[in-house]
Amino acid sequence: MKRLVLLEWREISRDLRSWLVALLPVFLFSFARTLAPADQGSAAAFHELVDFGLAALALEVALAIDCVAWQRDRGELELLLLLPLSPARILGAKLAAILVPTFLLEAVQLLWALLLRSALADSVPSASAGDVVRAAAFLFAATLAAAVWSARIALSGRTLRNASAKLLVWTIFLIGVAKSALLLFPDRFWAIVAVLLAFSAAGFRSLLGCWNRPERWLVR
Amino acid sequence: MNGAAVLKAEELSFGYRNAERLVLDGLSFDMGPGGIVALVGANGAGKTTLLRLLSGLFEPRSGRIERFGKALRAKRADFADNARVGALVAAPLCWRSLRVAEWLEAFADLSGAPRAACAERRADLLRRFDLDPRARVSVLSAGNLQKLHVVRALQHAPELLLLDEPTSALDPASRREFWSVLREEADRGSAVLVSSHQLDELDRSVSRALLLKGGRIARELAGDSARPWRVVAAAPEEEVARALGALWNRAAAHSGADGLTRADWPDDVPRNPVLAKLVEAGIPVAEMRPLALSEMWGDLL
Repeated sequence: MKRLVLLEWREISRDLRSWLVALLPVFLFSFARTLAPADQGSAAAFHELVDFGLAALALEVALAIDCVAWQRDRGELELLLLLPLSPARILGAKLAAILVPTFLLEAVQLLWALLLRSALADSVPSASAGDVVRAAAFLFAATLAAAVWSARIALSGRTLRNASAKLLVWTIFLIGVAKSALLLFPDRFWAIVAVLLAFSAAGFRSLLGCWNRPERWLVR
Repeated sequence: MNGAAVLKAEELSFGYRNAERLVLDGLSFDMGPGGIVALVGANGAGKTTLLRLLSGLFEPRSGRIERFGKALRAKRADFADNARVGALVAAPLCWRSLRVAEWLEAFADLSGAPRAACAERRADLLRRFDLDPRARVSVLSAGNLQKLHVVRALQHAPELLLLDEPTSALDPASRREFWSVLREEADRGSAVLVSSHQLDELDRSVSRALLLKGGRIARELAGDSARPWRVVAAAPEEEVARALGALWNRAAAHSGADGLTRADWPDDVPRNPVLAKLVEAGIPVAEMRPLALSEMWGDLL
């Protein structure tokens, strides 16, 4: 499994676009934060972290899953299905290869946001450790849900362009809904995270079902 | 049914989504260990589809597939048995940044094959196919890419080989080497199912041939013994007819522009009396041999 994850990661990381798009939000955040007023409280800091994190992950997830769509269209996934590995393991390795770097980049962005905040707003209350944990949990759940469902859409898309467009719209939509739910029900934070995780599990099940019937997506 | 069947297909049917007709319609056959079986058919006859079904990539609409005595269940649950199969049913490339040796080693490791034995076989196959282990897989030519997939399918000493047009991009020397390797695999006990349009190549190596037409096995041929024979006599058709009398089957004979008469005989007709009567009549016999696959099925393709 580890070998497969590393092989997949090696492929994805070779795509320079991934790095460019992953770094772009960091610079955007830096620029926006420099312009924004620094007199924000803890709750605002939390939303700030989430907002910039979500913008980043929308792009990252869409791009990473685009790799899967490319692999599908080039027939590469078919080759892996000939291996004596369960489809769940192959799929898990692919998702891990996509998600682990995404989460790492998210972590870098969160740290960057915190550093910038403390550098610019020494005089106002900065985000507490609890805010950071909550922001990280929300980003994790939203990334997972978006990635799993985007991969599902990428596999079922009839053409690459179609799949890419669909999954980008879907990722942004899902993240928008999740963030709206957070704003509407701020006291139900962990319930929203749980719903996102359940949604991810359902997505994974659906993805596995689709993966198990390759004639549905291999044949155009 | 063959009790020791390595592979068995029963009443297989398959059609692609939104397609009007079935590609496979009630196809049945089985094969045991230690032989090369050729799958022959026109473009679109369903050879690739059948090999993909047998590889477990596709699921039949109806019917049943058994590999190694176990049903290839729906939803690819028998993935563990893929370690006993060497399949070349598609030639795409993943992990493009790897070199040939690394790429093959990754597949072997993921197949769970014993490392040392597999490395030895891999080195031997790379040498025989003249494939540079240090080359990056992303820059391989079509022919070398096909060799790469052949080595991938063979390196873990599979018990069942499913090969879809494995020589289509190979040069003549590599083709000869390929068939030599394949015969060795069959001698080792592997069951080999190979599709190809190169009937002459198949003719020299296969122990059995299946003609796929109309979604099922339309003809089947097992070894030389079951083949019709052809006699080529240096005389006009009428003269040959007089000599052969009751044995003569005019429907199966024709005179060519070269003045030779060719007649095909079913396998169950004794060949010696035919030869004896022609010699007795003083008709020179230029050739007497089993029909080649291309002569038998060429028109059907």
